[in-house]
Amino acid sequence: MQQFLMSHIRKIVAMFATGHLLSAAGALVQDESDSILRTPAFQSGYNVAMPMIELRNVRKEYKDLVAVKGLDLSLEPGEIFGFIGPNGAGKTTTIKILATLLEPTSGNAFIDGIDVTQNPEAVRALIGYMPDAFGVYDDFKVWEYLDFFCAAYKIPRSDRPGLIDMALELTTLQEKKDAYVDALSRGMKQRLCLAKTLVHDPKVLLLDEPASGLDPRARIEIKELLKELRSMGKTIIISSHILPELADFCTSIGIIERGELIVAGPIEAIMQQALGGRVLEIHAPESDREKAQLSLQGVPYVRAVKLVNEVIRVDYDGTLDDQSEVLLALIHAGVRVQSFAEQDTDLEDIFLRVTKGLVA
Amino acid sequence: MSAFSTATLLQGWRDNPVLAREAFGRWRLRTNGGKANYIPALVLLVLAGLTYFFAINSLFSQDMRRSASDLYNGMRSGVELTLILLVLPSLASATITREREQQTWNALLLSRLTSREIVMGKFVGSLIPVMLLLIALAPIDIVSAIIGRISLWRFALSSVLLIEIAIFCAASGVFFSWARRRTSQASANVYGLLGFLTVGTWILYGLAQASLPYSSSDIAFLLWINPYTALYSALDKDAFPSAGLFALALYPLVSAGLLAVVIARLRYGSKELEQ
Repeated sequence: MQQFLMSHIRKIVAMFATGHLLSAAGALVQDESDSILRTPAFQSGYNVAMPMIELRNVRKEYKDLVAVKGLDLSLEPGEIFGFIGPNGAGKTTTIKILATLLEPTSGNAFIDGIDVTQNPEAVRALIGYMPDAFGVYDDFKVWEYLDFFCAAYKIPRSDRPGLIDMALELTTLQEKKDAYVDALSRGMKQRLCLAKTLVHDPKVLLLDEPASGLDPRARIEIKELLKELRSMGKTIIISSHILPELADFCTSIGIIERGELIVAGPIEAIMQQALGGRVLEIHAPESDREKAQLSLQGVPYVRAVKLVNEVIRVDYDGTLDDQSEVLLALIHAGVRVQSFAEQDTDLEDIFLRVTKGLVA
Repeated sequence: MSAFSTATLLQGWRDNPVLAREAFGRWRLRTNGGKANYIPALVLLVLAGLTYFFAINSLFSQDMRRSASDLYNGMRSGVELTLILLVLPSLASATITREREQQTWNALLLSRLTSREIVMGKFVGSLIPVMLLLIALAPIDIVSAIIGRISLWRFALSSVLLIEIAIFCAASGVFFSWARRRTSQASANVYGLLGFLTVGTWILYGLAQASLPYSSSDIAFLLWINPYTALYSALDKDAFPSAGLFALALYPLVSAGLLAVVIARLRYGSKELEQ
C-alpha cells in the first residue's frame, strides 16, 4: 500500500517538476531566478552563501510572558527542520514570526535573505504556512476553495483548473473535487489545507503540527507527501509532538523549551551530544552474554556495557570505522553474535534527556 | 478616468476573490450541513412586495401630488435610510471578525492580496446587498418624485446622501470588524456609534440647550451629523439644506479615513499580526 502511495506521489511530483506547474508558477514570479519550484537539480540556483531561513537573536514577549528568548537558527535550502518542544515552549510563536504573523519584540528573522518585518509582502510570496488550528470555508466546494486561493495568489484564471487538479492529485483528494468542504473528514481537511498551502508553489513551508489529530493512515500519507516535497527542494520547518515521524524525514532538528533552543542540528550530532555517543545493540545466545560483556571491557571507546531485555547495549564513543573493533573483539572471544547494530535514532529518548518538561 | 484605467479597475474587482465571496457568498442557497436556505430570499421578496403594495396604494388618493411627495419623503427617510442603518452595520461588522472566528484570516493575510484589496473587497462586498435593495426600491422613488414634483437637485442630493450614509455605515462596520476580535463586539460598537449619531445627538442637543446659554441655532450643528436630520434637510423643499450639505462633505471624509486606517494598519501595524 505504502509502495503504491509512494509511486503515485512520485508520479505527480514528477509532473510538477517537469514543468506542468511551471507554466502557472511562471506567472507568479517576477523573473526566472525567483522561480519557486526547485528540484535538487535546480538547487544550484540558490545563493548557497545565504541561508534560506535565519533567526538572529529573536525574542518575543507578550506582556509578562517571554515566549521566545533570543533564538538563533540558520537553515540551508532544502533542509527539513523538525521543531520539537513541549506545549507552550515557543514553537508556534517562532513559526508565526517566520510567517510574518507576529512581529518579534527584538532580533531579526529572514526568509531567503528578506527581513520578515521589513518586507512581509515579499516574504509571504515565498512561504506556505499551515497552522495547527486552521479554518476552511465550509460553504465552498473543494475546487472552489482552491480556486479562491489561486485567485488570492493571483494565479491566472486559465492556469487554475490544471493547477487545482494537480494539487488535488498530490493530496489524493481528486474524488472529493466537487464535494463541499464541510463534508470532508478532519484528515481530508488537513490535506486540503496543505493543498491550499502549495498552490502558489512556495520555497519555504512552515508546518505547525500538520499531522495532529490524524489517523495513522492519514499520517503516513502526509509523511510521504512531505518526503516528496523535500525531494522537490523545499525548505521545511515542521513542528510535531509525534517524534518518531520527524526522525524519518528531518535533516535536522531543534529542541525548544521555555522559549530557548536547547539543541539544534543534524539528528546524529544531537544524539551524540545528548546521549554522549552512539549505542550498539548486540544479540547473542544467553550462554554467551556474560562472555560478551567481559570481552568488551577493554575495547577502545567502549564506555559501558549492560544487559537490557536480553540485549547487550554498548555505550560507544568511537567513529563508525572504529566500530568494527567491537565486533572483532566479540568474535575473538568466541561469542556467537546473532545481530550487531547501532540503536535506531530515538528522538523520544533525546527529547526526554534534554528537556525538563518546563513551559514558558 | 481613462477607459484603460476603468477597465483595469473593473478587472481588479472581477479578480478580487474577497469581493466575490463577500458579495455573492451570502446569497448561496446552502448553509452548513447542506440544507438549502431560502428564508432570507423569501423575507426580502415579501418585504419588497409589501413596500410596493403600500406605495402604489398610497399614491392613488385624492391629492395625488401631495401623496406622492409624502411617499417620496417616507421612502427615503423611513424605509431606505432605516434599512441602511439597520442592515449594513450587521453585514459589515462581521466581515473581518468572521474570518478570525473561523480561523481563515491568517490564510487571507498571507496570500498575495494586498491589504487594500482585502479591505476594499470586504467593504464593497458588504455594500452590494444593500445597494441592490435600494436599486429594487428605486422605481418607487422615481415615480413618486416625478408625480410629487421633487426638484432634480433635491432628488440627486438625497440620493447621494443616502449612498454616502451607506458607505459610512459599511466603512465603520469594516473598521470595527478590524478593531475588535469578535463579531458581537464589532456589531455592538458600530450600532453604538450609529445610535449616538441618530439618537445621541438629539439628547446632546437637548442637554446643551437646557444647560448652556446658547440659542438653538448656535448648537444646531450638533444635529448636522445626524443622518436623519441631514436627510430631512435634503428633503425639505422650503429650507436651505445646510445639514445635508455638511453631511455630504463629512461622511465621505470620515469613511475614507476609517478605511485608510484599516488598510494602513493591516499592512504595517502589529495590531493585526497579534491575532
